[in-house]
Amino acid sequence: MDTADRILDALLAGVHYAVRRLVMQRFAAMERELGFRWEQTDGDAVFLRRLGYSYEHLRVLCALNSFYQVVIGPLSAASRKWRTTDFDMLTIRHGQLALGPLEAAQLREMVTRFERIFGEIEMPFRFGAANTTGDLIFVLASFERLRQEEE
Amino acid sequence: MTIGPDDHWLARVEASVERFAREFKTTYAKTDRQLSAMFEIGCFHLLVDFYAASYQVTPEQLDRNGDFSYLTTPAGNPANFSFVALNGEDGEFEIRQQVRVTSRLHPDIAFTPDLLVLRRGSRIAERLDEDYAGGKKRYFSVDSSEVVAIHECKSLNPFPELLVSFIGFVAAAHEYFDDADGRITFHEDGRHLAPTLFVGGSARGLHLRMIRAMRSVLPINVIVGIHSGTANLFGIDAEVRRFDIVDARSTTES
Repeated sequence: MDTADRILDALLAGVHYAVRRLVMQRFAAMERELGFRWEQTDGDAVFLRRLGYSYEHLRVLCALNSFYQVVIGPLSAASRKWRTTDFDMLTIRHGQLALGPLEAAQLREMVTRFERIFGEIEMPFRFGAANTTGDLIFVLASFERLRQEEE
Repeated sequence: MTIGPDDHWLARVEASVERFAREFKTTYAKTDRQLSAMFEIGCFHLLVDFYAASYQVTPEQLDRNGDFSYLTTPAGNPANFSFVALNGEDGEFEIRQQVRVTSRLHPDIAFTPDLLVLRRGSRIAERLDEDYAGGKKRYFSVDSSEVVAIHECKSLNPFPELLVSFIGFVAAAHEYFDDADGRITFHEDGRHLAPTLFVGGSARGLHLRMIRAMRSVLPINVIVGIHSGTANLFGIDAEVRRFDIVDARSTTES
């Protein structure tokens, strides 16, 4: 088991099977695209390899991205204060689910902490929001080129 | 600053993720349906906030605890769930969730948008239909003539087929898709939000161009970046289509 697999295991242990399946499906799709791009002469992938990025580094980013897209993203949307109105103070109930000011604050804290993971590994959070592996590689290469220029 | 990952990068990210999972698993461990509902509720908040700028916004039919009871399936009776009443200069309206719409095109064409703005007091018809649940469950629907705007929520990344499919929703629901007929006017200060597809993921490049093009030729919006919060519905540079209703039916008679 490599790091990306252990990360997904940690995040998804005890999570509802349908959610786990959605995350793993997205990760598998990203991984397939990564395998293709990593083996080909994709200019950005070659550049990243030269900087010391390995296939596993990219798999880890794909794993975090997959979890964000399926789990954190919708919860982040639910927790956001677009504008301050009295309606924010209301608790919305859907079956067992409750979303009021307290729950929204907890979700916002969770989202902030998830974003902080990227900070701890010196990566911008926008990797979490990349649509595809191709986007992720492009954004990462652009980010590293910018860091190079700054140095 | 280090260029590229250092030797401990993989170990650091694993430790960070494990800490995060330990601390927040109970917060994020939802079912797939709950995640979908949460996203829709986020879009619902966004729509209510949009209307709050021009209308008095009042939650109605709250439950016995004063909470908003959210409907997420067309099988539920809308009369038993909460909605948001809108009171403005151009009349009264309501924001509801998951009310089936009978299309203007044909009475057998019906579909259920995630969110919709109706004229206040719109009649939500109910009937038993042998072709629906064997005639054992009530079938609820509102006529498309009562619908001010439908809105759809997709917790996905934008892709062309998703964007184009929304055109079918709007064509089925709204006469103004073909011909506004003077009853509504689209302009940048309009009080109502044109039918909108709310999309979780962000877009760039070709997809953004496609979204702009769709907005330029159709009475619709596609709002992306709901997950990351980059969606722009209120800012002065917000590129959204809005409209006003100018026909007499927009004001309730009561």
